Amino acid sequence: MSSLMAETMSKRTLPRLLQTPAVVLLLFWMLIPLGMTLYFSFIRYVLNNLRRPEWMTPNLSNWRGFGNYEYVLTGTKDFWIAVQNSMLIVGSIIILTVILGLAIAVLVNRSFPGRGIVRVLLISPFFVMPAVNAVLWINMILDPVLGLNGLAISGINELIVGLKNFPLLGPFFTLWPEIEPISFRATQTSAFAVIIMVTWQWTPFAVLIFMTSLQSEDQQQKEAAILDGANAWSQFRNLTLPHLARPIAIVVMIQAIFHLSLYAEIEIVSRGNGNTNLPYLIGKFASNNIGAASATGIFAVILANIVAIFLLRMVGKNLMD
Amino acid sequence: MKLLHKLAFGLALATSATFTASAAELTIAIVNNGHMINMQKVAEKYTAETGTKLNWVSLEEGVLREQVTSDTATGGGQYDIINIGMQEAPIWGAAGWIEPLNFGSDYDIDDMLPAIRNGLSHEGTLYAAPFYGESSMVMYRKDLTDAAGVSIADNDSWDNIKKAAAAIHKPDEGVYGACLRGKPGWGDNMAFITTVVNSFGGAWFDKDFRPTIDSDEWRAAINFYVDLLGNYGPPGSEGNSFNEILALYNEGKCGMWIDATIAASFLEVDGVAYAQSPNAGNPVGANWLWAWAMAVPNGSPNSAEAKKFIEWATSKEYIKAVAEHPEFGWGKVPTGTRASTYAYPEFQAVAKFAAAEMAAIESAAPEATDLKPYVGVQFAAIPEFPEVGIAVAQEMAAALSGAKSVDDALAASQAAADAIMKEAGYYE
Repeated sequence: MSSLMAETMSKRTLPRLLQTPAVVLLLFWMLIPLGMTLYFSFIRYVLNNLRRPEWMTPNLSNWRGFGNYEYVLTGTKDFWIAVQNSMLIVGSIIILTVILGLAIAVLVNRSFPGRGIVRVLLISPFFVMPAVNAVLWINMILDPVLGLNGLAISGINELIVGLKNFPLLGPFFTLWPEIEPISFRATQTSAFAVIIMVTWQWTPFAVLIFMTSLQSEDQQQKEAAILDGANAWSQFRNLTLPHLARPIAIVVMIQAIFHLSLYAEIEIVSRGNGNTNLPYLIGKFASNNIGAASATGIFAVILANIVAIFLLRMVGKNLMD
Repeated sequence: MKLLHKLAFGLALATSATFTASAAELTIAIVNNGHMINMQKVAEKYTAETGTKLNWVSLEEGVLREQVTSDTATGGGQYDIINIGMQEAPIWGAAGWIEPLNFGSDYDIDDMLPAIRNGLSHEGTLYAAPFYGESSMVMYRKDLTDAAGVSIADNDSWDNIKKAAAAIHKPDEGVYGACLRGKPGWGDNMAFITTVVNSFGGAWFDKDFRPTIDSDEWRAAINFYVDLLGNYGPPGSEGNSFNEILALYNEGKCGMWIDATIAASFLEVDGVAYAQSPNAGNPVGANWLWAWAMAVPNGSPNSAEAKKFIEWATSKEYIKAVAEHPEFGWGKVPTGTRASTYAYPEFQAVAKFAAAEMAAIESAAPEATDLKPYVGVQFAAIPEFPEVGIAVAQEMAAALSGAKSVDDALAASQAAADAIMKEAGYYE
């Protein structure tokens, strides 16, 4: 009896012992930065302050309690805007990429000449670096003067002017207005610019995942459905969509994790004008006020965990089935 | 065994060799600005003459600021020489982070433009030596103003500037009256906006360092700015800073541009004329003052060599060395630092804007006055300014794009600035 227990003990102990180095390393890897962030978030720590030089070194005597948190929440009004905006950006991108990804994946799933080339082209936006993606879109496509946006609008305006000056028929067009190009760097629109460019970049990711799982779809079921007289939509609704539940869950989860930390696009499009998120807010403090930056970081950790819990509940159920 | 001995001996030799070399080796953190990049080549001559080895670490402006601040604040000692701007130099000098600079009589410090020298000093002591300086001025298309029958004079009134902008504003033909900075950033839209506010008689802070952004002067200045740029500027101005406007200007889309004097050397359109910055009837004009300078962090082990190098790199001889360098010539010499540079006829011949630039720099006054109790023209030389500047910059961009009224944007700016100054411990 006792030898059996010893045996099971050693059966458990050995693997655990073998795991220990990895686990300890991971713990250090995680706990030290987290612990330091927590510590800094409770003290006054300002890199550069001539009035209060004692705040320039991290020290327990600069204890501030929840003061940094209070300052982040109430001192600047950016915090709640940043939280709302993070949600808007992440939510919109996920919805758009899933819908577009599904549509494109189903479309290119048939066989047609040049399918290989089309697939490669479809995937390519995903390999563009985020900063390059942002520079490309904001300067070459969305710019209201020199970009495609501006050129197209001025082309349309020229056409309208031409129509107005047309002999005989001209008067019919006098009420047509000339169009003002939208500036995508403005406070009201910069979030949409980011949504557009990130959607463009991440739709291929969704397409890739959906395309691979569509190949494993049961063709016999589909043939049976066709024999039963099911139309294309009800095939998609009742066979393809349930089949894709898992890949959709994966796409949603991975994108939620990635897009909560968007930075390059926001910086390049409008420098956070009308469009901040938590990482951007941390960056704003980090140049000087380490205490406030750490408090914002802790908020970001909490927010990410809330999102993760919801997602894991929703998505995890799907994955477990 | 013999082999091992040889190896050990070789190793020892190698380490001692690196040690002797490091005695005269300087690590320099530089901003990736054209003049600084060129300096790496010109300084090969310095290395050849003195044997001092130079390691260059070239960084983008924002990264440089972050790196150098944390390195200097925590006493890291990575660098022997650092590039800092006019915003940091007086602050860091006061904090004792950088060493005072005293050069020999050959250096001829009185040749340095006084405005630049004052901006880089703290209580009369020079803490950073400038390698490049600039102010701002009006660069306009004389062909367009002539055709429209308007003119722009030196130190013109803002009203006249607006009239001229309205006269040459022809969006149907792809020409916009005035291109001005609108991209949020303390060195972007706020650099220009602050000069406008200065010319209307406003300031960032009062003598207790309480923000004064809700004052009537600010209201008048911002209303004017939003009106001018909103009505006679290109669409998307809230995204435009130096580089964006330069691209527009060279595409022939701007009638007028008020920006850094250095822009004049990049303009490729015909018919460009220059005028000193406008004002609103106050003694303070709407031109800014900026310089990039070299400083020695306190406690650098190579401080003597570092100072010797700075003395050479910001001297008259250096400017001549750039002019005589086969790759550069007079068109590439660093400007805005020394009066003697502007006296060379060869320089005047290649730089048509030279006289206007020097006048603009000389008329800028960075010292603290009764009107503004802080050092700096388009910024305040206090450590908290970048944070305040960014917060206000975004409100101004919101006002420009019409998302907020000017009054709302100013109220929000005042509240944000107040919170930051309180947080920094200026007042309770």
